[in-house]
Amino acid sequence: MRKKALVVDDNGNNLMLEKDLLEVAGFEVFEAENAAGGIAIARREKPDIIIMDVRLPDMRGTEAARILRQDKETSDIPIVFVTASVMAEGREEINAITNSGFIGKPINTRTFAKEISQFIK
Amino acid sequence: MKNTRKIVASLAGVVLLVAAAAVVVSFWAFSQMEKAAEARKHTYVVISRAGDLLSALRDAETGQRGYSLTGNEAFLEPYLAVRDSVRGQLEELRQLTLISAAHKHLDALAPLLDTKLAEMSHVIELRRNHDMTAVLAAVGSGQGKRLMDSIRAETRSFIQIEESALAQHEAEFQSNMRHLFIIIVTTSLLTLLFALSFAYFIYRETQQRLKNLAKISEDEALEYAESIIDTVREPLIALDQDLRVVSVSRSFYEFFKVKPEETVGQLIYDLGNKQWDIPKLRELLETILPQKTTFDNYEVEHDFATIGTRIMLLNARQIQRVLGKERIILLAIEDITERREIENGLEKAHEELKELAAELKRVARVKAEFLANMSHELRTPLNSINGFSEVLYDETFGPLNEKQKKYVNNVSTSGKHLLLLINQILDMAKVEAGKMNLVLSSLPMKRLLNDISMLVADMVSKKKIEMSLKIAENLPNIEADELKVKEIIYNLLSNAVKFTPEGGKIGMRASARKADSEIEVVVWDTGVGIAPENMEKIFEGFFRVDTPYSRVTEGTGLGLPLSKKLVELHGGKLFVESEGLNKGTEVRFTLPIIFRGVV
Repeated sequence: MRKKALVVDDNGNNLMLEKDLLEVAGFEVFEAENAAGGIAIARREKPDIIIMDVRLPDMRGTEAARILRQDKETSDIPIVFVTASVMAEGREEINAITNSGFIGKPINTRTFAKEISQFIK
Repeated sequence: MKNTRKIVASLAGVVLLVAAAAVVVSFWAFSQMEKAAEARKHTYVVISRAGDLLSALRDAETGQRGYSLTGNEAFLEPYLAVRDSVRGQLEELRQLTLISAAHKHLDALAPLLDTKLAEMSHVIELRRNHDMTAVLAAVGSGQGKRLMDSIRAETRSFIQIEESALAQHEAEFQSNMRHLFIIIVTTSLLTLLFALSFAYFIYRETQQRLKNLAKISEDEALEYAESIIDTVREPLIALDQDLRVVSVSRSFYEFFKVKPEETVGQLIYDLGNKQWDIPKLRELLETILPQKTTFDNYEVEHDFATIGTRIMLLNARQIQRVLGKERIILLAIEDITERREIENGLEKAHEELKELAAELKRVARVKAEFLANMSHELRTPLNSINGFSEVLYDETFGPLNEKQKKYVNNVSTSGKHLLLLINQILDMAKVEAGKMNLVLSSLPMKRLLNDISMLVADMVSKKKIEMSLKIAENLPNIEADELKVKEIIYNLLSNAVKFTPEGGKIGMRASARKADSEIEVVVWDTGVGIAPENMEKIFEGFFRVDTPYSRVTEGTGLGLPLSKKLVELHGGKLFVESEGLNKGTEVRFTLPIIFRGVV
C-alpha cells in the first residue's frame, strides 16, 4: 500500500516540485495551499507524513501543527517543516512541536524523498 | 631713635633726682621732728622733776608738822628723804636744764632749800627736846611758811621758763611739720608730674613706633596680598564694609574689561556703568554674608553689556580686621559659562547618544529582520530554480538533448552559486553583528582535513592540478565548531584550486604549534598570487583577483574574509602571504586546541 503524504505550501511552484519528487518516490500525495485546507485533509486522509511550510497565508505552520497535535486522530502524524526560514532564531518554534523535523529550502531534489521517508516510523 | 633714648634717659634721671630729693628732705624733716620730740620730752622731764622736788618738800613739811604735833618719829620719813636727796635732785635739775635763764632760779633755790631744811631741822630738834613752846613759837613765827612760799615761787618761775621753752619747741615743731608737709607735697607732686610726663612720653613714643610697625607690616601684607591676588587666574575683588572696591586682581580687569581708575573706590554695584547692579549679588552681600562669614559656589547669571551673559560661581569671605572694626569682603569670581555650556552640551550629547544607541539597536533589529526576510524571500524562488533545474538535469521526467542539458546545468550551477552568496552574506552579517554562535565539539582534525581535501579532489583532477597533503601524524583533535572549520578549509582549498592554472600545484600542511596549544594549517598554491597593493583589499569582500584561469562565477569574493572572521571567532589568526602576481599564495591560519572564548 502506498504511503500517504500531505504537502502544505502556499507557493504553487514549491508545492508542485515537492509533490512530483514524492510521487516519483512512490507516495500518494495530497496538496493544500493553506493551513486550514491542510488540517481538513489531514483529518480526512490521516496521511503517514505531513510536509508543511512555516509561513502560510492563514496561520503559521507551527500553529497548524499544534492544532493537529491536539486532535487524537492526527496527533501522531510526523510533521516535516520545509521552510526558507533557515535562520537559527526561528528554530525553537519548530523544536517545540513533538515528532517533527526540519528541511531548509532550497531542497536537495536528489535526497528529498529519502529524507522525508526517514521521518516515517 | 637715639634722641628718644636720650629724652627717656634724662626724663628718668630727673624723676630719680626729684624722688631722691624728696627722700632726703623727708629724712631731714623726720630728724627735725625727732629732735623736737626729744626736746619736748626733755622739758617734760625737767618740769616733772621740779614738781617732784616741790611736792617732796611739801611732804617733808607736812611730816615735820605731824611730828611736831604727835612726836611720832614715823612722820619724819619724808623729811629725812628730802634732807638726804635734795642736793642731788637740785644738781640733777641743773644738769637737765639747758637754758641759762633757768639756772638763775636754781641758784636762788639752793640757799632757800638749805635754809628751809635748817628751819625744819631746828623745829624737829625743839620737839625732840619736848620744848613745845619753842616749837609753837618757831611755827608761829611764820618763817617756815615764808621760806616755803619763796621756794614755791622760785620753782614756779623755773617751771615757767621751762614751759615757755616747751612752748617755743612746740611752735618750732609745728612750723617744721608745716614745712615738711609742704616739702613732701611739693616733691610728691613734682615726682608725680615728672613720672606722668615720663609715662606720657613713653606712651606716645610706643604708639608712634607701633603705628610705624603696623604701617610697615600693613604695607608688606598689602603688597603680598596683591601679588597673590594678581597671580590667581580667576577674577578676585576685595571690598570694604561699605561695599566699595578696595582692590581687584589683574584678571578682574582683563575679564570684565574695566580700567583700574573706574574701579577702585567705586561701589561694587556701580562698576562698569552700573552693570554690576545684580539682585542676586545684592542678596549675597547684604543678606547672606552678614549672617554667614563664608559662602561658596553662589551661582549668579547676569547679562553684562560688555561681555555678554555670564554664569559665575561666587566664593565670598568676610574678614574681620584685627585693628579696628572694619570688615573686608573678598569675592572670588569663577566664570563657569563655558563649563556650563559644555555640561549642557555633554548632557545633550548624552541624550543624543542614548537616542542614537536606541536607534542603532532598532536599526540592528531592522537589519536582522531584513536579512532574515531577504534570506527567506530569496530562498523561496531559488527552491524552484534549483529544484526544477536539478529534476530536469536528472531527466526524471524524460530525456533532454545535449544543449538542453547543458543549459539546465548552467541554471542549476548559477542557482547554487546564488545560494552560496546568500549563505555567506548572512554569515558575514551574523559575525559582524556578533551573533554568530559556535557549536563546539572535539574535532578529529587529521580525518577532517583529509575528508575536505576529497571534496575538492574532483576539481583538482579536472584542472590537472597536483595536490600534496602533509598532515602531521600526531595532529591533535581541537575544540571547535565543525561546520565552521569545514567551511574555512573548504573555502581556502577551493580558492587555491580556482586561482591556480592547469598543471599547477596546490597543497595543505598541518601541525601542532606553540607547545601543543594550537594547530597551524597552511593552504598553498602556485597560482596567480596577490599583488602587494591588493593585499588589504582581499579581505574587504566581493574582491576577486582578476584571472584568466578562473571563471567569474566560480567565486563569491566572500570566502576569504568570512574564513578569516571564522578563524578569529575561534581565537585563531589568519594570514595571507604572496610574493606578488603569479608567484602563488600561501594562506596560514591557526586554531587553538582548547577553545578559550565565550560561546
